[in-house]
Amino acid sequence: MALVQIAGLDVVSAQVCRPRVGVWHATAMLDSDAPLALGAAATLALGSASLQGTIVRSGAPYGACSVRVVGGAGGLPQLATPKFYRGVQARAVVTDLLAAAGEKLSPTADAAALGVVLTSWTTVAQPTGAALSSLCMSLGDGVAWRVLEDGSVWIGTETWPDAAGLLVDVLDEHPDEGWRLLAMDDPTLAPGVTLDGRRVDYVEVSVESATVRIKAWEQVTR
Amino acid sequence: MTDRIKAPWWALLRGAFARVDYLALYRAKVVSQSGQTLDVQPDDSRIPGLSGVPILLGLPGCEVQVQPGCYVLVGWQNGDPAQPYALLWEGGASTTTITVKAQTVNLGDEGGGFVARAEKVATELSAIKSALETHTHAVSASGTAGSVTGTAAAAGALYSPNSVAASTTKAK
Repeated sequence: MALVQIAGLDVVSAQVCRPRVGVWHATAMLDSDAPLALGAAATLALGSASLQGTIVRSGAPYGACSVRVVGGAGGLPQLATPKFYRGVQARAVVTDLLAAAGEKLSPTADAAALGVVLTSWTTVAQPTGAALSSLCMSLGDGVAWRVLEDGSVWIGTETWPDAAGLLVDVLDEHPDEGWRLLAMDDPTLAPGVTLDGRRVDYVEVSVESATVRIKAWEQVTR
Repeated sequence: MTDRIKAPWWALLRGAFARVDYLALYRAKVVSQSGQTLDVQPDDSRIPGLSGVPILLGLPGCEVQVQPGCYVLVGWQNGDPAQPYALLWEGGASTTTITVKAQTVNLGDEGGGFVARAEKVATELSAIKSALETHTHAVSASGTAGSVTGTAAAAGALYSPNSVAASTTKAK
């Protein structure tokens, strides 16, 4: 069994992008000659991590299956339903947005952020992800959202827990560009943690044959 | 291109680039007014009907009461979806009242005099009328029983009118 799999199929090559704000997504070539069903739920096994997503593109034009998977139910690019609110908690807006997009709110979402009362709020017909970003900006400094490994949408203020338990070899370092190239036996590094005293903002996992490399981008600090 | 061709073309473009800019202004129809806030329905279906939207008149100390059905522009302060506002009425908006609150309101130009207030004018005219109708003259008479002559004295001060000037509004 390969270290990385999608829908139970071994990954030949892949690029998995895990942003701190937004939706994780992956493009991959699989060890299969048949495309996967669009819209189907799929698990991306990344070492010991299981990321729950949805297949949004797939084909096998040259006898090799390529696939694109996004985190969650794949509904976050959908346009939000225009709605005006007055005197509601942010949770009401989030619930409406996610329900219309077919997504789920994570039970670990920040209750304080979701409890903020909005004097008024205007949801316009923009991609649901953009609508979530607009809302987060109004909920306070540092409030962010992203799709978690379990496919649910988390909203809250980052706590930047220490990822000291992860076994990481630093292969290359580019402080001028703000990233490090890492090797991990178990590539479970996720954004939103602190690694070696640095806040991880974006994680890019590249899989080529049996080699897995992780680019970890640091949070830009001003 | 005619409007009949342009309209669906724009609708198609809007659909393709479905992006609503919170820093832009959008045309909206006034549904109702409560105090200095409006309930409006934007023309653009990507934006919901908004209620209790504060009116930013652009002139401090002013208030308006408009008829439903007129058009205004709506937007969001600082691009914040939590802070809608309405401003810039389209020509033809039917206004019920316009209130200007200021220490001095000059009509026409500066340097005019205070205008007379109708209710004060009416009060003073009524008081003058009453004074004219009820005043008396002292009369001194002389002569015999068949022939009396008299002289009526002046009535004296009948009534001193009060000022009818408005306190804030001048006109030239």
